[in-house]
Amino acid sequence: MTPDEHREIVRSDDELYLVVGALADGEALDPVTLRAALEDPAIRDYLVDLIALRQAVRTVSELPAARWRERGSFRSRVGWLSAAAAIVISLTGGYFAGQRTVQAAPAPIVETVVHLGNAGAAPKPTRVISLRPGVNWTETAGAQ
Amino acid sequence: MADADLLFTAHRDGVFRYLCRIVGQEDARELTQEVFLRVTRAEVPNTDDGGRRAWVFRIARNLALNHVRDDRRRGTAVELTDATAQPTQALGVALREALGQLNPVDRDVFLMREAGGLSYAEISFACQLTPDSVRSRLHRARQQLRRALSGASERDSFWR
Repeated sequence: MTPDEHREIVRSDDELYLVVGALADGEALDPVTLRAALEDPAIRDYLVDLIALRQAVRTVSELPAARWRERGSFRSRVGWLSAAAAIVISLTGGYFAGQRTVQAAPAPIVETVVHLGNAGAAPKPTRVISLRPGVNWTETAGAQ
Repeated sequence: MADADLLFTAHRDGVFRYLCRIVGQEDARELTQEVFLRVTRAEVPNTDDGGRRAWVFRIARNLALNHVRDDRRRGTAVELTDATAQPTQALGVALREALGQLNPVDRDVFLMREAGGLSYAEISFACQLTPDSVRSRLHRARQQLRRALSGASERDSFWR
């Protein structure tokens, strides 16, 4: 085999591997080259290995990614819980602060004292009119 | 909902996964926040969804590159992955080692495709490469990872 023939074979092999890689990657490819590639058992093995390699990368990578997402959602949960706790603390604190303010400065007490001692007695008359029989007491003239 | 909010909802997981593999989980959290902070400050390009996704990943990549550069200056070890759960721990370690062996640009291309789900055209924009270069770098990265993980599978049983 001449060096040129050898290079040709190597290049051709590379093309076959590349087309299988393109198949695994969902890229555009030449169906005729793909058919030729899939007839070679070594290249079929390569295709299987590509899939296994992909699974290996994603399996190992998925763990930290999932943990990162969990951490994000955990942070989010903690955020919501903190907000809820802050509201409860504010309301409770406000209530007790209000209570303490009321106790410290009570409203002024207004006492109303009603003396009932003379309440029922009528005032003394300033003038007394005597009523005598036969006298027209409605007469105004001379009614001194 | 604003454009930046939509982009955050649509791409935060992909960006985080991509950054996780480059800077480690802890720094990826902060960098992901930083990416979307920049997205909200910038003018979102008037293009289709793919173009916007590529734009977001370009920002993520630039931030990751700066972060790695700064870490190297400080002499800090860069954590490539966090494999914590038992069934995936061995796989995570093997993958971390294998990714660490890749050329940085090849690794970016591979992670944008596999962790971020970008198309070749989107990766081409995000990494400022030609589509042919994306295709060949992706192929090279896959071959290298395949070899590395097949070697690891002789010790463990997670691969195939």
